[in-house]
Amino acid sequence: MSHAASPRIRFTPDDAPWLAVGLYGALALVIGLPLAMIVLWSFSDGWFPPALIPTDFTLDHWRQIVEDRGLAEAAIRSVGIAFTVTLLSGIIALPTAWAMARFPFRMKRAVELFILAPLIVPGLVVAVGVGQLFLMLKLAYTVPGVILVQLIGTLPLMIRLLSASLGTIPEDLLLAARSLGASPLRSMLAVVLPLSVPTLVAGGLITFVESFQEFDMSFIVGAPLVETLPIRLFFYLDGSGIRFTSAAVVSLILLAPVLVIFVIAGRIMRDDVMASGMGKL
Amino acid sequence: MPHLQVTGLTKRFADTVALHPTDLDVEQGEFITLLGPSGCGKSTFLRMLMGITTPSGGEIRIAGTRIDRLPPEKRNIAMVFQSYALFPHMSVLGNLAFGLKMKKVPKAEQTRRIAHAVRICNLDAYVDRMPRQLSGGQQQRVALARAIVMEPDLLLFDEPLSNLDAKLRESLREDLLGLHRRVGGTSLYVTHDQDEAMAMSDRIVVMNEGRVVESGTPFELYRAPRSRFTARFLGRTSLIEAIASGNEARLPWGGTAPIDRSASGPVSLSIRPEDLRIEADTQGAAAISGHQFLGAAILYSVKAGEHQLIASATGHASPLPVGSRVSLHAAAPLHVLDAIEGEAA
Repeated sequence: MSHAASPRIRFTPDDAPWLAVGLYGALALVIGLPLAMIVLWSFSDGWFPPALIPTDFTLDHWRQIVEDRGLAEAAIRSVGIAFTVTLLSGIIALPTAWAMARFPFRMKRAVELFILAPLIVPGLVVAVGVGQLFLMLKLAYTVPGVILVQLIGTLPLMIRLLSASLGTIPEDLLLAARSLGASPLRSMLAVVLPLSVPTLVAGGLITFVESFQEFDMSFIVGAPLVETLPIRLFFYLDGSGIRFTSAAVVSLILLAPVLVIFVIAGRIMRDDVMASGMGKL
Repeated sequence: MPHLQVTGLTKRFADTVALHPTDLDVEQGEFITLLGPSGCGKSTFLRMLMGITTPSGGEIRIAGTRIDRLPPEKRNIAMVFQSYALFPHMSVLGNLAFGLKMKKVPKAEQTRRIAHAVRICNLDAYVDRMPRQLSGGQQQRVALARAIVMEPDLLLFDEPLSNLDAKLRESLREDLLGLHRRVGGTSLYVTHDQDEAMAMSDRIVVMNEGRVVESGTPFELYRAPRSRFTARFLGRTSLIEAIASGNEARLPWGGTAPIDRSASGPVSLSIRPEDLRIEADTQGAAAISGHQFLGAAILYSVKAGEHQLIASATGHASPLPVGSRVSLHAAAPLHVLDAIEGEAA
């Protein structure tokens, strides 16, 4: 028993300040610093080494993008698509994950691999592959088409997350619900669904973000008729060279809804529920 | 008519038989225990009563009505699980109300039944707690209350005490039995713990390898088991082959002893530790090979010729040292087992 021989050192209240300094320091280093750089770039009008901050500031980059009338429209469309994709991912993934987690069936491994395959295949390949099919089905250049192609990308993660968490729901709970008079469907709704909420929230957040920022597949299937926010914004990054200033503005705009979503979720959900859901990642 | 009537209940899997055709009648208000080692078929039996395993054959009737084709939610059978199986996202109250809501019991009736169950299970202080805030024993009482509020035709227990520590187990045993008496329901209890089975049951059904070995009251099964399996599984025993003539048997290490029924020829005896009295005797046929001091009694291992026996001694004497010669005396007529075909000697 190596645990008994070398007990873990426990934190005491005296350690709290150091712990806080360490954690916040790490947070500042990996998130705060890059973010600060991006913000500075978005306002900079000339920033050359060895200067630590830009030598001149301007609002031009922001003005140029924000004055774009198509932008608000694209943003609203993107939010709508992301919501739909998230909702559909949850609805499709829950029963699928249930079957994967609970029932032995023929060719289970093959089905599992099939479900996870889109994680391995680049989105570009998928989109080009389904492009022809979508043209035939008249789904190309439509919002439903974009939603469908995004689902290919988001479902594997959702199914994987949910089947991991559904697998941990003890069989006895379901049997108890059944013996207390609940039909199979009622036991799903009254027991399995509430117990899956943390995972659904965690998976939903990630799906939303993934959908909101997705470019390759949406571009191939949707552009130019269906413009999502990333498609619209990526036009500002033209091929003539990397323009840090425009790129910075684009990143910040794409980042904003993500931050908002996480903050809202953090407010709604209790910390432990959040953590238990995220822990499944 | 028996309250629960099981006839020819069978479960076969692809190439194994989990339960050979089994009959069982349980009277209204009885507390029956299925006792056996793991894999003896008792859990399969329980699952078929619950309706989560489909029988390969046979019938289950409650109060004369066949229920073996009904899904679990249509049978009025409640279960207390080994894992308690409390819904972790509901308070104690939510857990208790769950089944009543599912069965659409009127609100006033719900309140009455829950109040009753809360009172008799001593849960007044915990109704608003979440299951994770309760100790194992408290969770077990909630699980029991959740089953009681259903006023089930049959209450099933699947090793409900095996996750608890020994002291708590013993006190909960009494609580459980008291509750059974007060509620007046019919209970079927499954366990591999023979102490539990002996202490609680009106009747024990001993099972092994997918079959009922024998059944009877705890007293009958302990004092006069029919089979070697029961003799060995319930309490301690020494199984000895002897030659009977009339009401006496000639013991293999010499001497004779009275037996509890007349027989002639070779017989198997089940000798409980308290059936043997040992006396220090330098000329004795046996020798002490070990002892355990249990407080209320001393349990001796005794070697008599080729045979290893167990004998207990009560009283205030200090243990005889290992190696002492002793003579053995039957304190009561020794029990003769039935000659059952297929049971290895």
